[in-house]
Amino acid sequence: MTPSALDPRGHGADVIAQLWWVLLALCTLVALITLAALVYAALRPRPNWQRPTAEQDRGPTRAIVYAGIVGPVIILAGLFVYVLSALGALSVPADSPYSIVVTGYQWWWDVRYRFPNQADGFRTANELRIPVGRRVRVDLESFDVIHSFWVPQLHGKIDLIPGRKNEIWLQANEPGVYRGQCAEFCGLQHTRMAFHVVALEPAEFDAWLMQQRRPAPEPRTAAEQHGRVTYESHGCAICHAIQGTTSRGIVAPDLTHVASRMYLAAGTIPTTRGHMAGWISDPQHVKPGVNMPRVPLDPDELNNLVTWLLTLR
Amino acid sequence: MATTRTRTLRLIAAVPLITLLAGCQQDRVRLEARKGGAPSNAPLTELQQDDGQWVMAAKNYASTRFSGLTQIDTSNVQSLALAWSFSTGQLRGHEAAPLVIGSTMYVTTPFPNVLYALDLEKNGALKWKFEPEVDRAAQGVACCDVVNRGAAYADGKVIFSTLDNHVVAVDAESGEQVWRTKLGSIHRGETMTAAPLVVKDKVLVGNSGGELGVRGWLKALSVSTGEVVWTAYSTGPDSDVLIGPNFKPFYPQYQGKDLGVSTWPPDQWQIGGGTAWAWISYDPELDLIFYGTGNAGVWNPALRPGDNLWSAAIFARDPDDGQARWAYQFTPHDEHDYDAVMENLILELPINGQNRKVLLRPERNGFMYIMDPTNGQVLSAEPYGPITWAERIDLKTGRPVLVQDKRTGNRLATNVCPASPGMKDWPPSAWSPRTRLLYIPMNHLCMDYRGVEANYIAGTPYVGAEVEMYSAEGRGNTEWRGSFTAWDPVSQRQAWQIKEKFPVWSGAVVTAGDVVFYGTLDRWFKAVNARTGDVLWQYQLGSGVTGQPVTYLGPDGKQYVAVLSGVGGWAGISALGVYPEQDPTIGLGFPIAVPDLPDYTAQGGMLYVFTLPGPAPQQQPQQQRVSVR
Amino acid sequence: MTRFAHSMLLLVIAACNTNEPPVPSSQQATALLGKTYISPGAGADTLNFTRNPYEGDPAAVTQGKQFYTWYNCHSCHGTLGGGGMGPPLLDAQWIYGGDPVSIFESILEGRPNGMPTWRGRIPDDQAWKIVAYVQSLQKNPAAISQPSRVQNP
Repeated sequence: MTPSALDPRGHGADVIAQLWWVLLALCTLVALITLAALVYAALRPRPNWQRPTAEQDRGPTRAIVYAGIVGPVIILAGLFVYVLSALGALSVPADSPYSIVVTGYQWWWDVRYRFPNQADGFRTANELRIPVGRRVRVDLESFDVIHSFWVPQLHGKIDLIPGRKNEIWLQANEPGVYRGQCAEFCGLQHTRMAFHVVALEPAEFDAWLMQQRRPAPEPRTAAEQHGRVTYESHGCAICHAIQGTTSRGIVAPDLTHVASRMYLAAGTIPTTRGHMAGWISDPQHVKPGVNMPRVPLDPDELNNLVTWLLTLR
Repeated sequence: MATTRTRTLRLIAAVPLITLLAGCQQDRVRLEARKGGAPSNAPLTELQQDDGQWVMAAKNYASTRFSGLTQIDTSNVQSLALAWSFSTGQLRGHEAAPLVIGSTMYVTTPFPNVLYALDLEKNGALKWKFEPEVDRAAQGVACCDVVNRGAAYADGKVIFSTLDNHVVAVDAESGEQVWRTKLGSIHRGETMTAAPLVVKDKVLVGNSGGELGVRGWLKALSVSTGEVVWTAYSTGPDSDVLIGPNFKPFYPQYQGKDLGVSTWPPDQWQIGGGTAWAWISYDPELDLIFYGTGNAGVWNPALRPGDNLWSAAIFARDPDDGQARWAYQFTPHDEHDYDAVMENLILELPINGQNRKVLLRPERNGFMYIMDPTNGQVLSAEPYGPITWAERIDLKTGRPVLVQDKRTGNRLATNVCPASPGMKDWPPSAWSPRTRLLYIPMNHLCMDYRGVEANYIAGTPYVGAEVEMYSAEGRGNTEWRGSFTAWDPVSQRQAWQIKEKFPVWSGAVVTAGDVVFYGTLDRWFKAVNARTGDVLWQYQLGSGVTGQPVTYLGPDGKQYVAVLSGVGGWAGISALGVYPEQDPTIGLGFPIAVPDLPDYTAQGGMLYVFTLPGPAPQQQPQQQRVSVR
Repeated sequence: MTRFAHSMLLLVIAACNTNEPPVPSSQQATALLGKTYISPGAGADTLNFTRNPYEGDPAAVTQGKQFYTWYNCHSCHGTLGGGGMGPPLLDAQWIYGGDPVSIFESILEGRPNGMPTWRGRIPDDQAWKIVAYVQSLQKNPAAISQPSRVQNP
């Protein structure tokens, strides 16, 4: 699954892709015509060239005026109208009562679902889920530098600029997983700042919402209990947040449902036991320069911690 | 003819009779105390009426801080002189009100919260001192200096809170600890700074820490054993907030279930502030206690959308089981740190031509609220100083009508008046039933306020705002940043006002001699004519005044006025060796408003007691039992 | 052409080196410092106070400022070290020592009058960067290494 803007799966990307193909076709045609003319002009035999008379010149002049000025004006005017209508198709308002607030951090995405009743909201990271067929509003802010939000199969790029709110909507035509990427150079790990948009059928989406609203489950086994203690005593609790514990940091991803997400480290590694352990034990190895520090843990602590984190579905 | 023995017996028998006769003019209760015996066990509802003593920080349950003593009046206060002084041995903000029980004065100090018992019969000689051994680390979680606002007395015990969340009861005679209860944890950022209030057989205490994401509460402890009887939280589900079937709020927006949860983003109520860190009043007729809750935790309102109940609100509760009778939120979704913990005066005022019992609240958010204490209805709410954050209070809904431009959040709001310390902060006002005026220590400040992201780490500040305060007359004005105002709540007008260089951060006391006392941060202790506002007498103390003055009758029958000096508190942070000019947002934005304070005062810690020179008046006039309303 | 290629190569190599020198752990620092500043008897001059490896490093100072904000240091000590709940960090008065290692220790160990202990919560590497930022506060604003990025105005 290599996401391509030319493989559109959502309304926004449809419009953009269509625009792209039309432009490509038109420009190719014009290029071919121009090239043909050029080739013809370069290769036609010209024995004893003499300055053309006004009479002889009329034809070519007319050709230049029609093919070189009138023609392009008409084509470009037509294109202009078409582009305007495409922009119009893209600027219809969103039709979701809730909005997703995405805040760009170096180098991960903070995702907050905001509902009219604020008790229904919740926080996650690096993964957005939307229902199929709805235009879901996404508000974009940045915590530090300029990032750019780009899900090629669903829409175009839009920047996240510190101190400013930008807005976009996403609509998916069919269920699926669509990869997104930061599209504005933002520092050392810009290339590993990916995210995923998962489009679900409405019923599945509602079930996911309910799940995300629940706080983290209590640890059941001794290993899980030790894992949670490790989390709280080693400084993880200060930067991260887990609903249902006293951990409420905002400078790192919310981990309340980390095990329900498909990827870790902003789309860099899949959420498996081995990858998670590797990430925690040495984040600098996976993403050098990232802000998550390497915290020395002994093997038991690491195992228990991962066991517990994987219960946070 | 009587024998020598009979005569002697008669003489002996006559002594108590004579003493009794001599004393029958005076309050019997006070006589018992004056004999130097054990402090009285009479109920506080009686003791509060004895103007010779000062048995609770607010003087009485109605919180009027009015004394019926008339010895010192407008004609002779010019001669007021220092009788004696006592160094507390501590620096930092001295915010306490000294208590006078019988012939002993009790004074609490800032950290390390030493309790002194001073013998008034011997010019303030030290009877005993009690050092509660407070955890030093508690100093690291006190937002606004390591202060203590005083002790409470009941049943032969002096009860006070320590910075590290203990409530201690000490025997008033011997100074021995009777009980000690730990109520909170500094690792969560909790401290305790308020003066307790004893109501019937319970002592009421609240916590501090609204700037550290602490969840606020008010607890009732048994006076005899120190056990917690009930706890009323300020946020969270109704079962925690003690909202039950008796809860009958006046306004419809309070009639829902678990509003202390649903008016917050998920879980935010657990770090939602609402600490009850200042004043509690009690009305014995209604049998209700009244107290306010603090700011809604993090100062950046964008991090907590919703009304944020029950922060910045007032509760009326049944003192026996803590169940709430009504509540009213002064500042829903507080955007400016308008803690609502100010004093609540229970008075009788003519409203719309009819005398009725009211609750008068000079509120931090700048409105003077007159409320019905039976149901929490707001009868009127008028500004008593410069306000820009709200146009008015809509009396139909009880909600403020906001000025959109002054709303904060992740944006900069400029020229917001009043500034966060409010039109007035915790320093309590005083009410004179003779002049019918409220004497208010006020701030005259406005601010710029910007919300920023805040990371919550338990035990560290959780503020998320960059604030800079300045005089309401404009940035750079150093002549008018505080006022002492006499306010007529019936005509809703100022009677007179004294402009001060610095915010007035001391309490006030007013007497039947029509003299009102207050102190300033630049070390003046002033006596003012309560009717006209003329400063009749002032005395320069050793350090700025943040304490609460009290007045009492000494064992010699003379009237004394006592006050603590020792600059500190939130207003005094700039005198504690910080650098607001290089770093303007420190100290929650206050020090940059008063960067010149160190030019007027250094730190100190001294109790001053003043009296008129000369012996006590020969004839003890009948002390007028002035109604506390 | 070759000279150009060579200089390009050098630039690339230089860019790869993100100047992360090995960092002495807090245990090492303690061992080197000892807990006392007065060393009776002879030999005091041979005590070797370890320098902050990030001292003066602009990138570290910028990151240090970020950590200083994330861990709420600014809310007690002031964003620019002006003081408040905690003592100021921009003046020359240091209750527990103003040399880099003492500051580092103060952060990790905590101090008796309310400085929390951050050992195990702030990793050593980040703590040294915070120390670098604190050291930068001592100098005038016109210093060589001041954090240049203004956080989210």
